[in-house]
Amino acid sequence: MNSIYNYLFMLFCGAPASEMHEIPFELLKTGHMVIEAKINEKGPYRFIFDTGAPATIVSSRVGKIAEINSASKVSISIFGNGGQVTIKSVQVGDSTSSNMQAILKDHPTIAVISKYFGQIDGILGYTFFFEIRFKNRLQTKKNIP
Amino acid sequence: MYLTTSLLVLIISLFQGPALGPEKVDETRVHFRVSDSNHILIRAKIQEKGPYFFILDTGAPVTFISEDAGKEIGLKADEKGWCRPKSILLEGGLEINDPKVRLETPFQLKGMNGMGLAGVELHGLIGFDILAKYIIHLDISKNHMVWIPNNYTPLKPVGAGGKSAPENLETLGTVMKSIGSLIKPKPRELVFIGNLGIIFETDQKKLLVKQALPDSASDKAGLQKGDLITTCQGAPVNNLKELHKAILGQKNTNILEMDISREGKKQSLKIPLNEK
Repeated sequence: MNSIYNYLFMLFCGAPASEMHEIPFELLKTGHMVIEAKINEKGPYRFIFDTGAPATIVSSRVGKIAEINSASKVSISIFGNGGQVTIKSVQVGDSTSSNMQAILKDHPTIAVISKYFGQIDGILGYTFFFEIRFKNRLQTKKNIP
Repeated sequence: MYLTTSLLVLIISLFQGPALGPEKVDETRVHFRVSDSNHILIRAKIQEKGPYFFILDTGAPVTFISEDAGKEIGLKADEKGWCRPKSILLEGGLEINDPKVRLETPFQLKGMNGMGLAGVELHGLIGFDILAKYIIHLDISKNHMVWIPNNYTPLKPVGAGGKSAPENLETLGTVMKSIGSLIKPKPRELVFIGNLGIIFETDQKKLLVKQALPDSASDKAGLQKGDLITTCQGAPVNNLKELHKAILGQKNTNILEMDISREGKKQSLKIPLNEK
């Protein structure tokens, strides 16, 4: 862990200030940010926080532990293995997003980083952000008379 | 607790000292858009040329400018592949002076540009080395984010084991770039289209193959430079849009069948997409 304070802040607009969450992250010497997340209430596991990643990736190891079933939704795989899955819950700090789209895959680069910096089980990418927004839109609609 | 509000703001903050709210000083609204491939894109001028499209990428430890854009701008890399443009001006008015960036085109960026999947030509990545110097308010549902300087200078990224960063670590973010190109734009209906690994000639209106990326599915299937793809899954394809449509219609197949013309002779290829 880097000696300086490292935080991600997640602020949810329209919510009271108390709903801004501090999410500590670890800054690897490679320049990657790592945050912890629980997958289907299992973990926490370490993930690279990547705004440039259009998808969230979860390792097969966590997929197995968290009982993520990809069989029903795999269509065409990428890089030789893995497939699209729906994760029931992804919890970061005190916040949980449900039914998040992700890819179940053992990423070779993540494996290299894990070798030197401890186990890392994937990448939190765009779908991590998007799923939150999408879910909330649905909830907002329910409140419309 | 569950997330119950309509908008998400991410404030990415990296600084020395305890957590504080953002100050209303020196903040700049930087405009962005989300691409067809789910990338957060920022337009920027480099040394007053451009604009060029960059991906906002915390997963890339350093910032990249593509070789083509660098050539157009007149940038020259040193022997290790780095260059120092005088300035990068982000749309909205934030000027980054004298940044040290990689003058390099990750092959995934080449692939995405070849397929046109981002909807625009991509010219680089804004990586952690620049992003870490700002507190960034990012609300995906808006068209701009707010950048505030935080007086933090990130350490130079190193590779695993403490030596110079190996390419596969420096380009983690760029590895991820290809993932977006494999996903249909509608986020609730994500469908993989496989890692075909084809780069097309961009100055042609036909599907003329410029390169089958080494070890990609198309390479293994025998696709070669100069091949003209004429059909995909039985449907005639004359351009990328038609090819996308033919591929995205396949949700449960392991084989993509294509007819090609090679030196005027028709051939059929079967590309295995679900290698395990």
